[in-house]
Amino acid sequence: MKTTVYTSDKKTHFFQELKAIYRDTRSSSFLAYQMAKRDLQSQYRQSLLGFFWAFAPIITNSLVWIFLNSSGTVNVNAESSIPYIAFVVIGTTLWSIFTESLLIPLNSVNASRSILSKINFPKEALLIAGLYKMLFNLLLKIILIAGILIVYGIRPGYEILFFPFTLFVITVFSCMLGLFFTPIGLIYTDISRLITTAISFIMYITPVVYAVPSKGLFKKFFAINPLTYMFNDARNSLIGQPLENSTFLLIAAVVSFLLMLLGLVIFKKSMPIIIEKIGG
Amino acid sequence: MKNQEKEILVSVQNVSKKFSMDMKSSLKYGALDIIKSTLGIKINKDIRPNEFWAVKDISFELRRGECIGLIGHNGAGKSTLLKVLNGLYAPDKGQIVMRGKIGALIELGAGFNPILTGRENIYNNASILGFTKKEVEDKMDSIIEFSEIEQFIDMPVQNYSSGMKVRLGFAIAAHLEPDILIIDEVLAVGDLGFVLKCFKKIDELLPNTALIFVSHSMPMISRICNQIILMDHGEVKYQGAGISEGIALYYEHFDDMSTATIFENSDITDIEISTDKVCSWGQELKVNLKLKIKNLEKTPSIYFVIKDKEQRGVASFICHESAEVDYNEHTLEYTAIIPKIELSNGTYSVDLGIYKTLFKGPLYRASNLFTFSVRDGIQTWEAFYLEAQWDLKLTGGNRTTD
Repeated sequence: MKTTVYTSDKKTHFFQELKAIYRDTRSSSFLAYQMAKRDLQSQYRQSLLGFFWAFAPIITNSLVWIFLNSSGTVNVNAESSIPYIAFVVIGTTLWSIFTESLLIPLNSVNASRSILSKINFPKEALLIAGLYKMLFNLLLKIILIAGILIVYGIRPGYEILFFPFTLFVITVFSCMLGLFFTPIGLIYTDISRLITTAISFIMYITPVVYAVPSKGLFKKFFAINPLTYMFNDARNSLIGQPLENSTFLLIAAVVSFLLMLLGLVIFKKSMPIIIEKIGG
Repeated sequence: MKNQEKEILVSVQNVSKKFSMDMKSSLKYGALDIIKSTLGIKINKDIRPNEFWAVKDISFELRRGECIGLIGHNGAGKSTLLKVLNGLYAPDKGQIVMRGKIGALIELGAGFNPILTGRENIYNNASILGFTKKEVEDKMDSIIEFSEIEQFIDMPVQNYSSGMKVRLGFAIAAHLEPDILIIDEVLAVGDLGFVLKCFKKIDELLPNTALIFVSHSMPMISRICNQIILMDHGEVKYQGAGISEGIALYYEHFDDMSTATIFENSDITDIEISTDKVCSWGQELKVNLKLKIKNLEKTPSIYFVIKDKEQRGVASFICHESAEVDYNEHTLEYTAIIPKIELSNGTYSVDLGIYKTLFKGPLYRASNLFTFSVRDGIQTWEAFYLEAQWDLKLTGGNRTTD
């Protein structure tokens, strides 16, 4: 029979916790699926335009920059190999994937605040459910990108095979970042405000709506931003150009993944404290 | 399998839990604790400024088939203890060992989404409670049948009444088949029919389950529990198998039995009561009532109601005597003698109603006019301890004893 022990000072080490996380993740796969299904179903059932809203933020953000560029208000430098519209749409789509995965842990836990202090269920399910929802939206976004590529007659080469890998790097990197500020972020709302404010700045030192500047102070900002390399290569893989920083991406993937495991352990260990402080 | 009936499923040893008095220090300590546990620094488990023990030094053991009741006033720490038992909060001191599958009914219908239908929400709630997909599908029909809301099962849950939501929530939880069941005051919303159904289900589960039950309803506690813990400010005030004794102690916490006049009439004045404050079981109780009347054709009817600690009327005595008084001023003196008090030990309060004729033309009503206590009988949860003639026959030996 399964025996559960709750004590004041639980002595566990990193790998025991990892094992527990693996076990809970497996046992809660139905719960995670059901939570994601519930949220998506209810989201679309109360909407007439449905899937349109998955694209809407990307479309509006792209339109702003297309307008700014074509009216001559702002003169952006983009890669000349593809039309600016395609450049912007791909950039903003990637950016929306980044921001969405960054906030998965914080938003998923916050959304189920009310049941956290009432039912004991594996909290990993919240993260997995958030991931499922992100993947569902990702599918829709990929359709948008495919549409743009077709409209502008951009023919991707074999490099497109690297696209899933670049997406994986971006997702793991952002989830890892998100996971680290989640425990404190759940306790103090300042953290999530700080993140949303910071995100809007970071977008301008990432090649989202314009390419890396060729000189000046901003070039240095771009250079120290790891997202620069991820975004450039993700875009390159779509438009048939070779990856420029494949070694960096590989290292980033491995390091992010390992740090994510550490983040998961911290998340799991701090959950009882968080439930006590924020649970309704 | 017979041996399993005796196994200990819940073992709680010296469990304590502290809480912060205010939000600011609560969040500060929370953030500090997270940082400390991340860096592997030992967390101080003693009281820090602005903290108090919400649950202090609770120990008990529970075997399969047993039920423990947690009672106490609001804020006594019952729900906090349940949350520690359920693993939602980590205890600050002590240890809890739970064997088997734990089911907790702290809130029914957790995870319901108002826009989705009842049927879809069965999946949502069941998955949170720990059902597998196959279990939900197998038990779906049985859940819907138990909830008795077949015809609305495909309607959005936001259009359900609170009673219907509780029905659906309990129907799902009842199919959990846990080894340890934790119930926190969740059955209060449904109608009587449903509450009875819930208890029937709990009776069914009980032989195979260790039940931890929190309620403010003493009839429910006395019905299913075989030991209780009375909590007061986080600490144990009574613990043991004497359910009646524990309940009596619980009632002592609420001794506000002040007299309240609900309805008055200027024709009835100067009401005076004199009576025995204490009476012995099986002996008489004498009540003397004096009052002044005017403008009345006949002397009024007197209606006394004896209430127990839960303000539940358990008995009444009524004066049917009446005499013509022709609208003059009079001083009346009524004396009632109840020859034999068969109430069980405890304190009772008495209401008075005065009517022109019985239940017609109310003139005066007061609640808790006086209290009296009964002793020398026995303490039972029930209001009456009746004298009875017993006859015991032993068959086989063909012997009769009186």
